[in-house]
Order: sequence, then structure tokens, then C-alpha cells
Amino acid sequence: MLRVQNLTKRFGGLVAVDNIDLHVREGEIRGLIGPNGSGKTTFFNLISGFDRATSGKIEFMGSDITAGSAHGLARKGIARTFQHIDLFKGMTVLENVTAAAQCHARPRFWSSLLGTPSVRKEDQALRNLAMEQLEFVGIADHADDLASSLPYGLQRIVEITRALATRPALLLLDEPAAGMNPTEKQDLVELVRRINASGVTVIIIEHDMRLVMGLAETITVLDSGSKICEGLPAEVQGNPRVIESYLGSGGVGKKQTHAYAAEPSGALDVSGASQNPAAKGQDSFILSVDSLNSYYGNVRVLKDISFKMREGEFTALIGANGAGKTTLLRTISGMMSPRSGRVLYKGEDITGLSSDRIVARNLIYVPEGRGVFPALSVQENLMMGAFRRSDKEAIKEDLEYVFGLFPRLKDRRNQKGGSLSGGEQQMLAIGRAVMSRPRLLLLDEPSMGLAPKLVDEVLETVMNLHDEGLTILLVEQNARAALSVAERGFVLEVGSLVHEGPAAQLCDDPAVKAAYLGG
Amino acid sequence: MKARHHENFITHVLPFILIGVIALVPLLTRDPYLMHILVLGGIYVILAIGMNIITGYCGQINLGMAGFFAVGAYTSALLTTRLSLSFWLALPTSALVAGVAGVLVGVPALKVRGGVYLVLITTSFAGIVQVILNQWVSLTKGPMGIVGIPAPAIGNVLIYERIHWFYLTYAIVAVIVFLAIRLVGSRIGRSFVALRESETSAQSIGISPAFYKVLAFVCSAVLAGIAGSIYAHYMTTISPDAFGFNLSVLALIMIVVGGIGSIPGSIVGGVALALFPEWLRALGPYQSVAYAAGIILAVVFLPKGLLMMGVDAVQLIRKWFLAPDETSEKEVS
Repeated sequence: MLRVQNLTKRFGGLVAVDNIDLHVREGEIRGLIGPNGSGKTTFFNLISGFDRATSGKIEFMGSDITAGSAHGLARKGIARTFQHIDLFKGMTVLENVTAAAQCHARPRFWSSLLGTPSVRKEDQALRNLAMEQLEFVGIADHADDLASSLPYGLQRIVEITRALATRPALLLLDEPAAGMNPTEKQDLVELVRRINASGVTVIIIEHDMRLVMGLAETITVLDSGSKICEGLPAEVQGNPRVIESYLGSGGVGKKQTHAYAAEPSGALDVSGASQNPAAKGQDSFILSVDSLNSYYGNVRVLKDISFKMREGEFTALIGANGAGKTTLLRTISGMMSPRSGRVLYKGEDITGLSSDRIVARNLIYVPEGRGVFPALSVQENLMMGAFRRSDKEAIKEDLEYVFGLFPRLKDRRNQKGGSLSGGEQQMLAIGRAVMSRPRLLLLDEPSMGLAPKLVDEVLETVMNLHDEGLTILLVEQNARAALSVAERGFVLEVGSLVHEGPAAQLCDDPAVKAAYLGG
Repeated sequence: MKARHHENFITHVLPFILIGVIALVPLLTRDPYLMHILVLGGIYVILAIGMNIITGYCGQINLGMAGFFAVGAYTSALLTTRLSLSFWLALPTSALVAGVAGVLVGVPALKVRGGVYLVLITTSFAGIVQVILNQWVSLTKGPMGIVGIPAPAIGNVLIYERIHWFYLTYAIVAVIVFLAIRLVGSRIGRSFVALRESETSAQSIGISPAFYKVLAFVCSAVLAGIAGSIYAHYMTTISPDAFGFNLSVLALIMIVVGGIGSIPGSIVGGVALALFPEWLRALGPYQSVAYAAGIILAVVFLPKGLLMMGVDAVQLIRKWFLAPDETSEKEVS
């Protein structure tokens, strides 16, 4: 059904997609994997008409679509979702899906203006079609909710529903599971299977190996724009080139057990504040949060959150989408003010201080989605991290230190921040934070959207920073990875802290396991 | 479900209540000066609805409304004074000519990405129109303007009294509001909003940005043309200086003050911006300072516009008085 021949896309000197051949049969689920920046999304953009190929040919259901426009191809039956959720935020869920359901309807300007019976009937049919799609996917309850008010995982589902409402023959899913918790991922797998069973061919880009291996019959692996391997999941998994470029050899988890083995077994108990009744008084805590309550409008997002962190501690905060993890970090870092409660940092009350004053106290927040300055070069981005400092020599040293942490950034020091791949941007964001000489580092979902190998790399760096004495609060959707590197963990559930303990212990807790680690 | 009813009321019923309230003003006073202001207000409402379609709904910033307004006004004036056409033929013709101007602006506007360039294109268009009106003396009489634009007639009755103009203008406003509500509620309106929210996603579900953007430009130009035509016949005299950049900015302020992406908001914004300077007249030399300050305050403190602020206030009051009722309903849903 889809035949891609010698497809190449150049951006200036960069070859994003290099002479790719791809063949997708009707009714197939195809997995597309590869490291960040390997050209997967560009490949999707070419197929769906958002980018024009430099050379090569794309054939879809027998016709040449190489020069097709994005909206034209949508009408021809190619639907897609986006890596970064891109819903019509101001519309309700139903409106979002209805806008897609009208894909094959003519505009009918005059009839719409006059509201003729035929156009009314047609409009009702479009709404019904949209409603049917919502029911098929199982989110009909949310039809009247504002798209932007939904939790992250549901927004992804709405985007898939919207794509389905165009009644596609081919559905392109770009990292649909990014930012989802294990339960949501399980539902997603079910959904993709049902979509496929209803006669839609699916190509899925995904970094969650278990998910994509379980779904796809055939997997294609890209690296630096070229196809390096294609075959059954088991074949691909065993392919040495794939392991080397993408899957990574070990994984942080293994190194972690190693790291723990080196530590005296008592170390964990000491780090657990709850097990160490305030022996040294409040002053020894670098961060202490006291019955914090935060609201978005009328929605209470944080409910009486209290916890303490010792200097030098590495804590992971895990929880489902919408549990309030990001809100907690934003409240601590002064990006938003709590309704009540206190945040003490090194014994000083910083509740309600503006974020720049909090940064001045070396409490640094690395936001979800990285927040890299796209138009500045890598080096300029890093220098922005040293914005408040004037010690030139030390800044230079720190710059070298960051380049030591992330050699990739050194190679790309003059490249624009926006042109980096997701993984490099994450490194840049962490590097920029390090440039402000943090005492306490708040990291929000650093592993989001990264290839398995890069997740390891990033988390390993975070561990190194911790080894050098930095206090770290890590928020992660990827609970397993987070708990494997951190010493202590908190579990946040709809705004309340429900579990707390040494990371290894949380990993074994059956309740935590079931809810966040996926069995 | 309740939210949907509420929404329905605001989009489908409230606009006509607003027009109804304005139409009742003559029962209280027929003060010719107030009538004059309200006629201008009605013309502004048409302009504001046009502005809202392109900028509020479709998200394309348009600072050339004065240009389309001028095209409508001069087309109508020339057709009636030179060719002795009736107002009733001149009105649709000026809408048509303004619509063609909308295509001429809309098509190049597709080539640019980002609001800044669109501002340049649309302002330049309005600037060019004003230059033509000033320079093409043989057609437009240049800066002198066109005088003696005839009054429209309904049957044997000539419309020249203020009160007649008042009713005529608001009758046209009512028709336009009716059609505009249909338009923004239709699949076309939905496509406009989709383009505003995310052009990328809109394309991915088969919405052609080119087609709908040009369509939105044409719709707003047509409305500006109609407003211009009414303006010309109401004033009986027009000259190029009435169609400067100020007017384009005024159209933008109307929708910001009234409510972006809202038809009833356009009504509130249009009438408010006609009345507001008059209320400040008592301040004498400080009038324009107070006017500017008022606009700034409105933009800063009323992000949702005057209309939605009113709606919110009503809801708040209802909540206070019906507190137990409301909460129990919420729990059920």
C-alpha cells in the first residue's frame, strides 16, 4: 500500500533522510525505531506531505504522492499524530474530532450561511461520526471537555481519535506513548490493535521497545537517516548494529545495582528522612516542604504536600500523568505561588519568591520539554545558564566541565539550540542548569521522548552530578529508570504523597509496581 | 451538558438580545446626537464582526480594515453619484468589490509566515488604497472627497432622518449578525478556528490553509465593504482622510475590548467604541488622554473582553444567590 523508493531529504548540508526504501503492506502494523535525530519524524513529514522530498518517490495505494500537500494527503487517507501534542486547545474534544470528521465534506459556504436542511443534516452526520469515533476509542465521556483541560495521556488519545476521524487508510503515529504511564500504555496497545483490526494500516514511531515489539509485525530501524535493519522484532533486537546505535549495551539499571553494591547497606537508611526522626533539626534539610497546596483556577492540584530533603540526596518523584509532579516543581521553583503552605530552602522561607530570586539561591529547575533557546547556539545557551554570574574564569572552567559531561555538546557548540535532536537538547538543558552552579537541581522528565540509549546516557550524567555532591529531585514518568538511579522515592497520586521510602524498597512495593512499573 | 446550554445562549441568543436592547433606545430618547453615535456604532459593529472573522476566528492579524472600508465607501459613492445607481444595487456591488480586494490581499498574505509580515502586508494595502484615493483625482476628486452621496429610498420614503438611519443600520446589523453566527458555527468556522489554534494540525486533518485563509480575508473584506457603503450614504460626504491607519487600529481595539472570537463581543465592542469617546467629551482637552488610558486599561484588565466580563459577573452573582442549588447540580454531574 505504501511504497517508498530512494527517498532522500536534505536540509542544507544535513542529510536527514538518506536513500530510504520502505514497503508497507495493507493491514500491517509497522514499527519505526532509531536514535533521536535519526530521521524518523522527517520521514513521517515526507510521507504526510509536511516536507517535500529532495529526491525519491512515494507511492500510496498505487498513486504517486511525492509532491502532495499535507491537507491533500489527509484527504487521500494518510492521517498522522505529532510527537509534541498539537490539539486545537481552545476547542472541546468533540469539536477537535468534528473538525477532522469534516475532512471529506465540501465547505458548502452558501448552504451553511443559510442553514439549509441538507447542510444541517450533513453537519449532524459529521457530529455523529465524530461521536462514534470517540465511543470507539472510549473517551466519549470527555466529549464536552476543553481539549487543553485533559491530562496528558488523554490528550494523546484525543489526537489519535482526531486522526481516525478523517477515516484514514494509513495512520502514522509519532511516539504516541511518550509521557504515558504503564497502564495508559497498555490501553494504547489495545487501541492500536483495535484500530488496525478495523482495517487501518499503522506505522508507529516509538521508543518504548516493549510496546513497539509487542505491536509491530515488522520493525524498521533508522540511524542517521539510513535504514540499517528491517525484520521481525526478535531479529531486530538481536542485530548488533541496532544494539550499538540504539538500544545501548547495558542500561543504567545494571550499573545501578553495581553502584548500590559498592555502597554500605546502611547508607539507604540514613538518607531516608522519614526513618531518621529530625535528629539534626530543620537546618540540616536543604529543602523542606510544609503542607503545600496549589491550585490551577479552582482545581486543587497539590493537597497538603509535606516532605524533606537532605543535602546531597538524590530523590525521585514518580506518579501518573496529572498527579501534580510538575506543579510541585513549579511551586518550589517559584514559577507559581501556592495557595497555602511553606517551602523552606536551607532554612529560609522562599514561598512566593519570584523565580529569579530563587535561581539566585542556586535552586535550579530544568523544565519538562527542555526550554532550550532555539535561536541561540549551544555555547550561548550554556552561557545563559551563567547569566547571574560574573566570575569569568570560573565560568570558563564550568563550561569545560559541562563539555566534559556531554562531549556531544562540545562537538556542536556553534550549532543552534533548536537544531539539536531531542536528546541533545535535554543534555543542553541540564548543562545550562549546571552552569548556574546549582545546590539543588529539580529535573522534570528528562527522559521524555528519548531513545533508550540516550535515557541511559542522561540518567548516568545525573548520577554523576549527584556523586559530585549535588542534591537532586528528579520527576519521572519512567518510574523504573528513576527509581533505579535515585536513593529515595516519593509517589504522588492525584496531588497527595502516598508512598515514600528508599528507592529499592519502592521498586519492590507491590502497589507501586502495579500502578507505575507495569507489573 | 449545562455548559453547552450556556454556550448556546451566548452564541445564539445573546447577540439578538443586545441588538434588541439597542433598538429600544428610541423609546427612551430620540436625541439626534445619540442616534448619530449609535448609527456609527452599528457601522462599527459590522466592521468588528469582519475583523473578528479574520483575526478573532482565523487568527490572521489584519490591520487593513480601513482599506476595505474605503473600497466599499468609494465604490458605493461613485456608483450612486456618477452612474445614479440605487443604494440597493450599490451596497452589494461594494461588498463584491471589497471581496475582490480581499482576495488580492489574502493571496499574497499566504506567502508569509508569522503575524509581523501579515501586519506589514495589510497595513501597506490600506496605505496604498489611501494614496490612490488621494492621487486619482479624476475618479475620486482627491483630498476634496465626494459630496452629495444620495440617500437610499425604501419605496417612496427617503432615508435621511437620523432615526430612519438608525433602524436601517440595525436591521442590516441584525441580518449580518444572523449570517455571521451561522458562518462561525459551521464547518467553515470550525476550520477557521482550527487554523488559528494550529495550522500544522489543521493541515493534518485535511484543512487547506490557503483556501480558508483567503475565504476568511474575503468574508472580512465583504463586511468592511458593506460597512463602508452604509457609512458613505449616511455621511453623504466622504474624503480619504476618514480612512487612515487609525480606523484599522480602531477595528482591532473593538474586538479586543468586546471579545476576540465572539460575535456578541463584536456588538459590544463596536457600540462601546462609538460611545466611549462621547462620554469623555466632558473632559475637554483631556479627552484623548483618557480615551487612550481607558483602552489600555481595558486591554490589560479585561483579557476576555467586556462581554465575557459581563457574563462572568452575572454568573458570579447567580452563584452567590443560588449557591446551594448550583453546588448540588455540580455534584450530580
